Amino acid sequence: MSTGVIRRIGDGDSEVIAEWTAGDDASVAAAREIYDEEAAKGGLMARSDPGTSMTGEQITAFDPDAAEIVSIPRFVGG
Amino acid sequence: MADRWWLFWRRSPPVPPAPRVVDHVFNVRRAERLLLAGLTTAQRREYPLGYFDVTGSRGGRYRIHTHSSVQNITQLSIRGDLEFCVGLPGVHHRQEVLYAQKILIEADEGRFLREAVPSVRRRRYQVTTPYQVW
Repeated sequence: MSTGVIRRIGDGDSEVIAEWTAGDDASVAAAREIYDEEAAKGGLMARSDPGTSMTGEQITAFDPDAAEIVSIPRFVGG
Repeated sequence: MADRWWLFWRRSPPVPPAPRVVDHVFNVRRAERLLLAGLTTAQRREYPLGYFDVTGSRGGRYRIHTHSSVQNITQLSIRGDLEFCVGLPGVHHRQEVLYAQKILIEADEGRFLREAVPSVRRRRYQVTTPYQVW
């Protein structure tokens, strides 16, 4: 049973805002809902699997196979 | 004792000092753990040197300097004289900004180039690449 998390980059508290277990439809559905909410904010949603590929890969839809999805709020050039 | 009634006045429980410094240190360490966990082996090896190199989704090469979270991205090109600044409003922890910058470049280099503000590199960074011409 692989698990995955959605992590939101914040100020010192990059918290896990959703967690799911592959095969557990309820947790996957809840995580998918949170993913959609985060994606609607206009930030960057990327798959970053620590321990595996470890490179950011942009995703446009919830991927239940991901080990970690990172939600990054809007960037500002300065 | 009647005139010293105030000695028996029930004092409010002492309020512990706000652990702001402790929180800050804790959050910095947690952010650094998050950053290190997200780096590749090669990037983790470079991290103590004060930078790590990132390959963008379009193939561009960038160096993220870790001493700052502003104007800390250098393009590793033939001339290597462009530096970029991109930040996260409301996020003040350097390690979290560095992690977000790395993910942005790797995941969507086009968006990075659109949103980051380029400027001519100053002399504080010494970019050494095999293609350097001077």
